[in-house]
This record gives sequence, C-alpha cells and structure tokens, in this order.
Amino acid sequence: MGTSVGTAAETSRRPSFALVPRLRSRAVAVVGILLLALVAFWLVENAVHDIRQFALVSLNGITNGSIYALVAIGYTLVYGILELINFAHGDVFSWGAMITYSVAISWLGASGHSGIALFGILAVGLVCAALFCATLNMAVERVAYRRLRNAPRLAPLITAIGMSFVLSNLIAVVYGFNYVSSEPLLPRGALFTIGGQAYGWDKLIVLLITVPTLVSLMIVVKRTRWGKAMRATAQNRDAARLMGIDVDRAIAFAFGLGGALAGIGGFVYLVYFTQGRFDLGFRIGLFAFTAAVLGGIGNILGAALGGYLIGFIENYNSGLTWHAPGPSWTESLVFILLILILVFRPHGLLGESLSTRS
Amino acid sequence: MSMRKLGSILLLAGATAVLATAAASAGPLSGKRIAGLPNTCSKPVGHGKYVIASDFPLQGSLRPLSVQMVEAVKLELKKMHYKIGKYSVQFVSCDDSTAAKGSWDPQTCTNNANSYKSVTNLLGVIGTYNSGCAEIIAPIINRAPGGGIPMVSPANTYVGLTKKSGVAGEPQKYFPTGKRNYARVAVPDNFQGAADALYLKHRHIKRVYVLNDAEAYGLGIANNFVRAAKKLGLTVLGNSKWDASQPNYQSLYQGIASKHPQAIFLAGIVSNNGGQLIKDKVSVLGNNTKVLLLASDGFNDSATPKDAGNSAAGMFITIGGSDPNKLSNPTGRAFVKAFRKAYHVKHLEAYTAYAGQALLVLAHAINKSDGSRLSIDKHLFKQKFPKGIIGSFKIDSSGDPSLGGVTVDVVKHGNIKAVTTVNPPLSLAKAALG
Amino acid sequence: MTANGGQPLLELEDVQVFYGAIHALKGVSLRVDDGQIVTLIGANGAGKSTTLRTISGLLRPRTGSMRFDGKDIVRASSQRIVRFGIAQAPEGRQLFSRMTVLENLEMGAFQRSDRREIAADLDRVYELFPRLAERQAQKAGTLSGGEQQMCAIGRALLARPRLLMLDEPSMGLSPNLVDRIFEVIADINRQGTTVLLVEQNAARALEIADRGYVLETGRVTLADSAAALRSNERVRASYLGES
Repeated sequence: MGTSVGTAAETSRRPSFALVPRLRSRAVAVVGILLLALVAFWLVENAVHDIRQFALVSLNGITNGSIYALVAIGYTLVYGILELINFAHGDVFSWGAMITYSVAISWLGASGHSGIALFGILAVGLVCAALFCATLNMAVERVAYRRLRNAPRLAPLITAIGMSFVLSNLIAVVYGFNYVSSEPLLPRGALFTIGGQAYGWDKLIVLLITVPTLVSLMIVVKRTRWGKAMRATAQNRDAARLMGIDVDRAIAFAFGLGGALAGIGGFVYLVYFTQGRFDLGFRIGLFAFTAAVLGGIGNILGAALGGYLIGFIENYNSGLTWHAPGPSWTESLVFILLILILVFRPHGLLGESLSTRS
Repeated sequence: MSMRKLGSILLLAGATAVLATAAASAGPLSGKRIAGLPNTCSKPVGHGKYVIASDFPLQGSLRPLSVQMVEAVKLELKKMHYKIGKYSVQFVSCDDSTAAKGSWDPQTCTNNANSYKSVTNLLGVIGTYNSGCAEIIAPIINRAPGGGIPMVSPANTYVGLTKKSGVAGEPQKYFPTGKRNYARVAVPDNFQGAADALYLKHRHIKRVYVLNDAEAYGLGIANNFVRAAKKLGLTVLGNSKWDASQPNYQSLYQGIASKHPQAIFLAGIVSNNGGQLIKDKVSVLGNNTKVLLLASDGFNDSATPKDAGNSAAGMFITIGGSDPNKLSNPTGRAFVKAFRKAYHVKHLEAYTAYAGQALLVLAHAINKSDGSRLSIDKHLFKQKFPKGIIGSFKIDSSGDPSLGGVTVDVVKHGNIKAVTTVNPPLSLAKAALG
Repeated sequence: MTANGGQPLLELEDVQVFYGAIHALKGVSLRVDDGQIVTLIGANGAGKSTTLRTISGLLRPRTGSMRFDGKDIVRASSQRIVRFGIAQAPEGRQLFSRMTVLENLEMGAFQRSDRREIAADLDRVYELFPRLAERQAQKAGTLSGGEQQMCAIGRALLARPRLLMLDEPSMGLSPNLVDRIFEVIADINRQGTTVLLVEQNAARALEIADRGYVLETGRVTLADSAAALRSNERVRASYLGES
C-alpha cells in the first residue's frame, strides 16, 4: 500500500491510462488517424479561408501557450518526483501575478514609466515574483507535504486541494475579491502588421521572457548538480540516498524550481493581460495540469508542448472563422483532446513507457 | 455496505447537520435574528410582527449598487416609521452572493428562497438584482404555504420573468401555483435592446457585432438587440459568446475584425471578465471612437471603468430607466435629496431610486390588501403611481412597469455619466421580444 | 585478532532494526577490518540486505552501535555516511533507468567535487568494465542485466569508497558473468578498497572473502574466517549445497 519508506517512488512511475486492449489497437489507430486528418483538414481549410487571420491567431496561441507551458512544468516536476498532483500550484501562479502587481505597479509605479526605467521596474517585479513563488512553493512542500510523504497517496492529494483553497483565499484576504487591473505596461506598438492587424511588441516580449526561461530550465534540469539530483530522486529515491543525495533538498529544489516558473508565469500574465484576481489560478492551473498530462506527466518537454497545444486550441477555437465551435467550447475541446490522447497514447505525447524497474 | 460503515456514515451526517444548524443559528446578535432566516440575512431593523426582506448580491463588484438599494428600502421604511398601514414591520437584508464568486450564487439563492418559505409573517421580498437569481427564487417562494410571497424587483430586466420570451414555459414556469406573485419596476430588456439598437442608428452605425456572456440575461438582451437592430435595418455581423474564464480575447476580436464592424455591443455582466473584454476590444479593434463600444446595463457598474481602465473611455453603457441623479419629477427629486442627506453620498447608483420605488409598490399593495399574502399578490398588479419616485407609471397585469425610457451613459475620466435618454417606440420593443 | 590482523573499519554491535512491528535484525554484531573482503551469507529474509541498508543509513537501528573508522554513524544521515566513505551497490541494481550510463556513474560521485579525480575514477571504471564505456550514452534502463550490474558497481566505485558494500552482485547473471564479477571484486579489493559482500552464492563468496558471517532470521549465528566457514559442517550443509 505504499506505506513503507520510499516505496512511493519505487512503485510504477507513470499512471497507465490504457483503456484499450491491444487486440483493437489497429482499429483505434485508424480512428485516431482519421481524427487527426479531420483536425488537419479544418486547420488547412481555415488557413486557406483567411491566411492572415490564421497567422494572427496562431501567434496569439504561441503567446498564451507559453504561459500555460511555464505553469505546466511545475505540475510535471512535482509529479515526477513525488507522484503528487500539486493542486496548489495554480494558486502559486496567482500569487506570482499579484506580487507582480504589488511590486511593479503599486510600489514602483510601473505605469508612470517607460524605457529603461520601466524595464528596470519590470525586471525587479519578475525577480520578486519568481523568488516569492519559489519560496512559497517550497514552504507549501515543507509545511503540508513533507510529513505526509510516506502516508497513503490520498492524504497528500487532499492536503494539496486544501492548500489550493488556503492560497487563493489568502489572495482574497490581501487583495480582495475583485480584479486588480492596470493600464498596458508593455509597449503595444506594432512590430509588423498582418492584414491591417498589428502584432505588438508586447507579444514578442512575452516570448522573449518565456522561451529563454523554458530553455534555461531544461538546462538546469539536464546539466546542473541539483538538476541531476532531482531527476535521480524522481527515478529512484532510495538509490538517490545511496548516492549521498539529500532527497529532502532535491524535492525542495523541484518545488522551488516549479514555483519560480509559476512566479514568472504570473508575472507575464499580469504585465501582458494587465489584470489579476484571486481565482486566476483555477482555470490556468486546470489547463496547465491538463497540458502536463497531455505531454506525458513527468516529462518536462512534454509539459511545455502540452502548454503550447492548449494555447493553440484556445485561440484557434475563438479566433478562426471557418466552422470554429466558438469560445464557449474551449474547455470541452481541451478535455476531449485529453481523453483522446489518453486513449491513443496512454503515456502522453512524449511520455516514455520505459519501465524504471531494472 | 456493512452495517458498521452505514452507521458511521449516518453518525457523520448527523454531526454535520448539527454543526450546520449551529453555524446557521450563530452569527452576530443571534438572539435578535428572525427564526428561519439563514445567516446570509442581517439582523432586523425596526419593530413589528411582520417582516420584509431584501435580497441582493452584497459581495463582489456589485456591492456598492446593492448597498445603496438596501439603504433606499430602509429610507422609505423609516419614512413610514416601519408601519405599512396597520402592519408594523421589521426589515432584514439578505445576501445572495458569495465572496468567492464575487457575484450572485445559485445555491445561495436557493437557500435564501427556501428559508423565506419558512417565515410565515414575511410580507414580501424586495429583490433580486440578477434575473438569474430571480428565476430561482420566484418559483420556490411562489409555493410558500399561505400563498406566494410577494416579490418586487428594482433591477430584474430579463423579459421572460413576466412575459413570453421565446424560451419554453416562460413565464408560467416561474409561477407553479398558477397565481403570480412577482412584479418589477425595472425596465425590461426588450426596451433596452430596442433602445440600444435605436441609439446606434442615431449614431449612423450600420454594421454591428454582438458578444454575449451566455447567461440568461446576456443572451436575452443580445437577442432583443439583434431583433430590434434588424428591424431598424442594421447589419448584425454576428452574435457570439465570450467565455468568462478565458484569459484574453485577442483572437476573438481578430476574428471579428475581419468583418469590419463599426460597433460592438456587449450583452452581459462586467463580472464575467468584462474588464479584459473591453481592454482587448481596444487593443485589437482600436479605441471607442474608432469602433463604437456599447454595453448593456450589466456593465453599468463602477467595476467597468475600474477593471478596464483607460480602455473604457468613451464606451457607452445603457441602463433601463432614468438616471437617478437626474430625476426631474418632484417625488424623485425629493427622494434623491433625502437619500444624499441620509447617507452622505453624492452619486446615486443606477438602481437606488428603483429600490425605493419597489418598496413603495409592495407597500401600496400591502395597504390595499386584507393582510394575507394572496391578497397582497393580487394587488401587486394594475397599480398606478402618478407621483412615483421614478415618474408617473403603472404596473401592468403581468407585473411590468409602463415606463420604457432607457438612459445612455458614457464612461469619461473613470466615471459613468448620463448622456441622453432614448424612448424606444412600443412597437420596436415588441419587435425586440420576437 | 582477525585473519589479516588489520584495523577495524566498520563495527556493528547488537544492532536491532524494526520494519514497523516486524523485528528484522535482532541484535547483529559484526566487524569489517580495513583491506578485507567480508561476506554475509544466509537464506532469503535472514536480514542481509537489511543490514546493508542500515549501515547506509536508509534504516535506523532502534538500539545498538555502529562505528565506521572510529566514528559513531548510528545517527548519521545517508549522505554523511557516503561522505565518510561507505558506498553501496544495492540489491536489484537500482539504477536511474531514464538517465544515461554516464549520468548514473556521475551520480555515484555526487558528494565529490574533485573533478580531475572523478575523471580518473571514471576511466578506472571503464577499464574494469569496457562495456560501460561503449554504452555510456545509452539509457541505463536499456542495458542487459550484466551491464546493469557493472553500472551499479561502477556507480558505487565513483564515490571512491573506503568500504564498498555489494548486495547480491551475481544475482541473475550468466556463469561467465558471475566469474567476471567475482574477479572484479577481488581486483577492487586488491587495489585497496574494503568490501562487504552479501551473496546467495556462498561458495563463491567464501572463496574470495577473508571472513564471513552467517545470518539466520536476524541474528549472526556463525562468525569465522572464510577458510574455517568453508569447512564448517553446518555451513557446508546449509549454504554450500553439500550434504
């Protein structure tokens, strides 16, 4: 029952959502290919129908998707190492947005500045949000999850849901229930125009923040001492101990890293969308978690890919004009996609089915 | 299931029930609370055997509006010394919102309605603000023992609450006993939709795109508007939903931009992420002079300029009825003066005067009745108010007011200010009904 | 004194360990002298792996003392124990299967910062196990059983331990590979590393060991030089498969 020391990490790594027996796999594959073809046809038809619109909406998808990607990685890192769905992660993201508001807008008055001064203020805001959220996420782990590490799986899961409420309600206590809102912070001048519609600098800036963040995260996880320690702990906690790795620290590192990404995500959300509220993390968190599962939970590149995928779905669905179901269907479409992926690729898009047992 | 397991579940359920009851009966000054009402209701003011309750969303962005409505009701009751004819009354203010949602909450509306049913000397309810909440409360209190509890709303504008709207079963489904107990003083949405279309025509707009928030109110007024606009010869480029939980709407507007609208009409409420909706409208389609932005009264809320910031500048927001700050009739002027003095405020929110009027409609019916709820219900309809706060009007046989004026406001320097009043012809309002 | 007459490197005295309510070690005392190969033999569930896990700090003894090089290690964390110089190639290899062979070996040196020395040790491991050099970029989970065992031993060696603990290194390997593994163990020992070896294959273990302990249901029932144990009637009957 996973109650003895370390067994949580030793038991099968990835949830297997295999719903389809192997016998029918060929039929399933055919259906899958047909569905893919249908979606591809719809996209191509839309592109032909109005190529400019298609391009604009795709660019929006990349922008929004990169925010989902940042948050999704936090879910995947923690799941990878503890097999815990950290429900509080979306709310850590909300805190990132609110701290950005406090630091950059309330205290440093970003709205009244431009140029280098604005850049400086935003940089301070970014660093504060990242540090705050890293600390917050590590504190959540220390306070709520660590002592439950050897408890039955349900206990930390329920605690995670509880922490989610605690964090979002704390935002409400500090900032109230209404939106905090600001005037545009990022320069919105047109970088180029497509069919009279501007692609603003703000969208490029979002990518200039998120993409290097994603890349450096991968480098940290792949190359650094604690990045490797984290991966080792995720794969085999006891063996990691035998290597002399302080697994508590490796786990805290995963939470800190995920928290920092959520903080950067919150920062980007606030400066790009210019508003935030206590319940921000609910939908973003739900989509980001879905992104992590889509990509193959535990797989960092997969989580990023899932995030972009959801960004595209959301924007294609609300922005394309040829037979798009429309924005009220976005959530349904995202979860239909999730179900389909779990049927056709139970380990997610990039999840490895390679067993960790040797 | 084993008996032991069943037993422990029952025990747990019992304990929960005890705790819930304890929690419900606690709260401030529990000794004075009116038995049967939940702790979403305030302690009563005034003294008397009978009770009048108000039901508004007291939390979230609508709080300023709701607080003034409650105060307006209190002001009128105070003037009467809490005596309506021979009936002395106490007043309680109930909340149909939750802090977490920041707006009305269906479960809270249901709970409130069920608790009203249990208060036998409740003479009437002033409320609700949101039509969606009224749709829940009206049929529940219609079946109260001792006759449907009279309900007068200062702000429900959804057509289907009183008249056929095109939705199956409306309005009968809100009155399951077959005897109506609901009236309102707010101008129904078909008048507003018609006025909105008429106003755009006045401004030489020919191509308009409609966005609605997919709730009963938003969808209803969007449809009213579309019908009236078509009747007036405007081209409606589309009527689509916006998803309140979406982080932004740039793609949505980019899709709309390819249709080259001259105006956007927003049908819904601002708390459904309206701030972002307005910001993205401006960032994609340009400012509100370039492409006109008109919104229904769900945006007539101080949250609109606050959440949307400079992007709200120059947008128009309509509201059924007259601007309370500009009431020209003597009764209205006196009300505004008294209200400002009593509560030390300058600006009256959109429905403050209507709340005072709603109480008077209920009081008038109580006065003429024999004291039973059924009798009050009967007298709600076909009343005449030649000197009402909101002007001279009648309540028709379905509970609607005869006043159809719609105020057009503009957002300027972060405030919502009245520009003009539009009086849509009755024929256009009927056409808007479909 | 013991056969080689060296200094005691590791000493366990009356170590008792519980898994929840299960009394797994009921007072184990043993001693490993510097430079020796000591083997623990015993049936399945006798407590051999539990002893190694306890020495590595994965389990905490309830009572008893453990000293390594004169220092008390009963309360030491597993990372301190590695730093003191105890490394283990655990039962079932326990590789990081989604990391490459090279990354696995590097994890063995996690506590070390002497880059040059690590590189030298890596070369030494590749010399011992040329197959690992060929497969260094391959995911450890894709290796064969023998290669995995080599990787696990190599990983432990990269900690540059004074005491190398091996838990069932020959399990599941072909006879050829078993020979190779035992050669390597003897080789490692010759180069100066003390070895504590847990083996089911008691005959082979006693061949290369200086000293042996027989564990039965959580207790040490026999302790003697390897040569003496090889000729002990009880050991021959129960563990060497001779009757």
